[in-house]
Amino acid sequence: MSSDAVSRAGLPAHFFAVSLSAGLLALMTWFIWSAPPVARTVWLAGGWTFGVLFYYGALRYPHWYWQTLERWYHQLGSPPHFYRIAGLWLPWLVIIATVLCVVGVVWGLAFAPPHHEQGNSYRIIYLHVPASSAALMAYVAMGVAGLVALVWRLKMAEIAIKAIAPFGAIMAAVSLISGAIWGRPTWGTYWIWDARLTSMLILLFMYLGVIALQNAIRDPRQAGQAASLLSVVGVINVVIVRYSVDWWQSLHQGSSMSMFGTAGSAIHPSMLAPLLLCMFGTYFLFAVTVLVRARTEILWRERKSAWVREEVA
Amino acid sequence: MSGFSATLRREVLLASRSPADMVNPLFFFVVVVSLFPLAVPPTPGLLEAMAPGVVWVAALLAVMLSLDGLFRSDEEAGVLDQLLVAPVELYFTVLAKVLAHWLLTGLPLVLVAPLLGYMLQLPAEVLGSLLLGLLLGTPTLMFIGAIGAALTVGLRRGSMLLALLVLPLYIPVLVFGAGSLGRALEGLPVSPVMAVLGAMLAMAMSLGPFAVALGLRISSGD
Amino acid sequence: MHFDSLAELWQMGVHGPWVWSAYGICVALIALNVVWAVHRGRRVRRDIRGLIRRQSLQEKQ
Repeated sequence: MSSDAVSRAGLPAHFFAVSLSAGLLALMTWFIWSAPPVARTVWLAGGWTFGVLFYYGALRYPHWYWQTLERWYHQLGSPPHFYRIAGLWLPWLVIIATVLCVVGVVWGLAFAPPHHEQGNSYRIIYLHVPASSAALMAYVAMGVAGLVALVWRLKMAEIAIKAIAPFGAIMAAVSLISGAIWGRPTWGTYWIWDARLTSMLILLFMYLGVIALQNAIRDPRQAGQAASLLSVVGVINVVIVRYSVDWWQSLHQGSSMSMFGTAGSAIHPSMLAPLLLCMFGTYFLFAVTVLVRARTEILWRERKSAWVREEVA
Repeated sequence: MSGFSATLRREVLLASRSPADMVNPLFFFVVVVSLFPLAVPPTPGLLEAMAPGVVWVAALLAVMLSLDGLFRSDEEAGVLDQLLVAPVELYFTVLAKVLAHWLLTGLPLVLVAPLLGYMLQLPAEVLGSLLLGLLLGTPTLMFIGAIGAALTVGLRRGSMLLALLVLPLYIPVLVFGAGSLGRALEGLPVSPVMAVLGAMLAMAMSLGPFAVALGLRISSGD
Repeated sequence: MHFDSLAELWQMGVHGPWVWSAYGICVALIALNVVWAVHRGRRVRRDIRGLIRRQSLQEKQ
């Protein structure tokens, strides 16, 4: 199936490898750009270590790298393989996600010191920041999957979009709700048209648009392609919305309101450690829910094939 | 390029035979703007402060509603399938279609806007910025909205879905469009904001037809 | 632990209601997301099993 998609688009598997690493690079740039300043240093250090190791390896053993990437492309692009591999990974991902989230939240709620200005209300950060960052990250991931689905018509990329959208919508909602409740004791109001709250609201609308479009189209391949196009357009829009809303706020309010006086730089390492745990935990949670949904979707789409009948029986 | 001029000519000819399609968005725009002065209290200065938002939101909705029929009649008549297999670049056909649609429904809307601005008690000095902003903004809205129209062309109840898909994509244009008028009201220079609106138009006009063409191919089941 | 007792942890100074309501609503949402995904998976498996059964019945007839 995947080799068919490659020949139809007339593009070699190498293009897949290059675009995959470009996508990873874009994702990491996004993480670094959107993270609070202290987390940014952590991301930068991690990103550089990974990048140097990856490209050292790619230059030192190019043959092995290309082979591995090509194998991944064919395995991940093939629904039965993906179903099986995801099934092997899922139990481990569930364990890691649960441990990270529980340890992070308990540490943040009970053990981290209170904030010197906000007291204990700041503890909502351990919910709010991971949810916001996961909602943003999920949309970028959806855009990358959309690009792959449009160029190579890879069935798995369409399935990935369908699996990511509900998670992203829920995370955007969690970010908005926790932000509103945090805003009441901090700003004295549940809702202000703050740049970040507003762009998160628009992100939620865009997730709902992708979900609605998918539900409106009967044919699954056509629905997948349409949702892919919408998510690619949406990624461009997310960036422009962010800048335009920032500009709009500077026009109306003079200074932007921050949860922590002078941005995130005030956050103490003892508060940051549980935050990072929660963030990583949320990313693993992302992997868990996306894999569960993708497996369900694969089963349903391939319900007429022999391997699904064996699997289900 | 032959596809471009042929499509342009065809669209203008079609519109001249059913002028109602052309007038309806304009009528909608005028009616919506006239509703606002009746709905808000007659506090001095309130209408003027609200005017940028009112005019831009009304223009945005008028453009969006007019887009619902952009590809539908072609799809029902089977012309769309012909366009998809025609030996001309779909990019230029789409470009011509959207530009023709803007000339026939968007431009009248832009031209009537200063009159409505005057009715909303905007000072005469800012009517120029209103005109220029809409002149740059409405074609951008057309090209972005055409993507949604292409994706929903074959669907029942597509117009509601179109609104859900397209309105979040319209927000940057709305922010900078209404913002340009707001700056003009405060007496600040508007050229930087107009430059941003122009940049968005350039981007929507060059990349938009690609996405629209792809959306049409997807909707036709290719 | 930063707090001396569980009661203090529950009260969090004056911020208890905000923090715990935020965590309550949002953790419920996230849990609902996971439960929903797993539930849909089970339902799809059941539907496919039904499809197979119906098909084999048709073949017998």
